[in-house]
Amino acid sequence: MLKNVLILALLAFALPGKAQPAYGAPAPAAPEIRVPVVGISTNIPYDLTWVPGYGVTSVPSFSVEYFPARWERWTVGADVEWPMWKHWKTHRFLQINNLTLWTRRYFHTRARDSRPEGLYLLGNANAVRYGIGYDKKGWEGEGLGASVGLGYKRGIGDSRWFWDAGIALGAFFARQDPYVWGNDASGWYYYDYYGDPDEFKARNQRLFWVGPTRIYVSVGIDLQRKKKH
Amino acid sequence: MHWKSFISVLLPLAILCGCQIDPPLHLRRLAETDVELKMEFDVDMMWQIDWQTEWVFDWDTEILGEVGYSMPEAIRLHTYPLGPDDERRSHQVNNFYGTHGRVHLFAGTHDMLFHNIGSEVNLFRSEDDLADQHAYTRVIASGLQDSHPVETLQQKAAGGSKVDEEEFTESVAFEPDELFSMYDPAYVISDNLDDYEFIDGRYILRIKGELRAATFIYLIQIALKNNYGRVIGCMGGAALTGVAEGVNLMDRVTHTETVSIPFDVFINRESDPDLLGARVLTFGIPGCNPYDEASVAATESAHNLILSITYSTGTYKNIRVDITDKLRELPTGGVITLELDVDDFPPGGDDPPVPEGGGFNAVIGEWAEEVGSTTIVN
Repeated sequence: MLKNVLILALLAFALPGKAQPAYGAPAPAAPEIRVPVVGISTNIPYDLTWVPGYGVTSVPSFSVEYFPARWERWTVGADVEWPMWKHWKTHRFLQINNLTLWTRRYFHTRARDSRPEGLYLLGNANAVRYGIGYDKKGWEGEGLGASVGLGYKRGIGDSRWFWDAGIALGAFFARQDPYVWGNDASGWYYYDYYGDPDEFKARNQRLFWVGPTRIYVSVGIDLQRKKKH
Repeated sequence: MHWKSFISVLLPLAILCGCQIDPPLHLRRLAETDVELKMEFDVDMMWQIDWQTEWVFDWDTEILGEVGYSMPEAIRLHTYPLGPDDERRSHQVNNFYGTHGRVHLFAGTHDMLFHNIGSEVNLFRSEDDLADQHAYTRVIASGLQDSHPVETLQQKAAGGSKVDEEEFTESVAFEPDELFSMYDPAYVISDNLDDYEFIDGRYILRIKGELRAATFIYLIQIALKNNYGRVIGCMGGAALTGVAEGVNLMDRVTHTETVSIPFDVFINRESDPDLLGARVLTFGIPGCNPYDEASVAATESAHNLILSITYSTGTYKNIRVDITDKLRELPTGGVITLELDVDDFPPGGDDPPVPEGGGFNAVIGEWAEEVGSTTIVN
């Protein structure tokens, strides 16, 4: 959760501040409105989750949705999950660096000064690298996935806060190496490979998954900027 | 500006994601190992110390072979690299001729099993690739022919035997060949070259071990009292009942399932026409480690010797003798001497004639039909 806070802070620095009029320019004549630009959120089930074999843990997640001004129904966004938990003494590792780029197509046309809301279709593409270990064995690898899904986004009252939920189905392909702890004087971890070392190829084990690839129940906030009406 | 905002959010995330994935992984070193096995089967220790005095049968070694064990022709090495919780992770098999070989093994901890191969009778199986290896022989018949109980002179003097009047229901299996094995669990193949010998430009690790017998030899001799030429041999064969169907080569515990083992009985009319002699190999007493006295004592078993007695009248009769006590006294093999009074099983008018031609076996019941195929992996 601390990482989430850090990211929010970085985001605050990154977002442009109040627009300054050019030196000597006349004052704007038209009134200004606050236009939602970016929605940021975190996936609650990931933030406190249970990983089979590993136990209860947190998968810090962060999602950004950008609302292009000229796109009334389309948005683009990105998700990042990055747990980097390493428990060397108990040989438990949960390291996932996942980046998902996605686009949404809402069914309702939004007004210029409102956030996109309601039911939407979702298209995802993700890349991940991971290192997961428990019971003195584990896997390290990289993978790619693609999926389509359905979601629903709704504001919370009249505030800038919103909740967002959805599910995606698709395929995920990864190449990985299983490994085991050596339990020897070196303390090393070894590839779980017992063939000819000259014929060893890293990432030789393949993982292919078809089914649910993403599920989220997120809570977030819209960041706005002032624009002329 | 908006795209810059978007990128400025993703950039720190990408930096955060740049952390290293742990733990770093290593490839196990493949060690060249020089395997040197010794044979530990001092029959003076396994059998009776005075077995040579006890064994009086004129055994023709040129025709019948040695009464003791012989050197194995080839050895198979099973290695099971162990995981962090000492669980078997893999299974490798290496074969080499004689008792000396050079094999490549991964550095690390292994369960290692050596046993001899080359026999067409001894078969090996395991429940799965990582499970313990078992040795056994193929079942050839569902049971034995009927037989008449006979007591030895010793039993009669002691007040009778425990001969079971019931028929035997166990299967009949091939007599195993000589089998030796050595199991060394959690053997460490060093990753440190200081533990190796530098020979001909190569680092070689020496592994030494001692093979022990996994099949046990019983030398059986039957002195025929009051024979007067009536019994001329045991042409219809013999069988030993109640012995283990096989053995777990890892822990040396014999199977609880029992079988009867058929074997040949010989007579040397020139040296002693009233003495029958035989050599039979078995996996031993069922359900125990024959090398462990406590393990043997904790089991119960019954053993009968079935003999197809051939008479000078051209007929034969199957008799059975309870040898439970004698066999259990010798869990790793030895000499069993019996004295039978031929007056207890004289030739009778109801005895069937000995079939013409050799190779008949009057002890075994219905021979099992061979179904399917057996693959012998060498």
